[in-house]
Amino acid sequence: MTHRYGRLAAVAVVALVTTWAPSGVRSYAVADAAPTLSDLRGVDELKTLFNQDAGKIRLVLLVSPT
Amino acid sequence: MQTELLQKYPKANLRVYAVWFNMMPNDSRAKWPPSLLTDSRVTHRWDEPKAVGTWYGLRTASIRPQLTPDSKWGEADVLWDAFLLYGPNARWDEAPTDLVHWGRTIVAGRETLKADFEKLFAAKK
Repeated sequence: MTHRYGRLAAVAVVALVTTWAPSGVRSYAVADAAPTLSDLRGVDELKTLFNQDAGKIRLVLLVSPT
Repeated sequence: MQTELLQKYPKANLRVYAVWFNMMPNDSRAKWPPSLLTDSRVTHRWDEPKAVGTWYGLRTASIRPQLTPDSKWGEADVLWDAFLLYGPNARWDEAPTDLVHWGRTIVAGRETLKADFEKLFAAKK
């Protein structure tokens, strides 16, 4: 009985933290991962990515590092 | 781009494909700026042979009507420092359809891009 109430209490604490925690704490949990750069495998890869995102607005940027 | 557009419309149903390649004499992959576009809706790819820029460079005449009025493009082998904005119904078979606008340079065309974003996403901030 005591053990079950201990687990319930732990669940309750987690629920409280995720709903009422300061935004800084919650934003850490959902922060964007750092972007990565991988090699493009030809125009066909961009075409595949493009078509996989059907239904979305899509923006192609052609850029140089400097 | 990051602050004026992506952060302004965090809930916009948008995908960005940033295709990077060397164009200036001192460019290199090592100089890619990872902190420039950190929004999770952005996909970054390095295009060493400039395949995508070359592909578009060959086709700019066909998309000239969608060039923003503040852009400058005089035809060259490789299209770079440019953006191309496509609508939700776009599909890429031989070429991508539903082009809204494209601009070159990105800075020169940004006012049109901002106006397009406002029209597309204003209700979905």
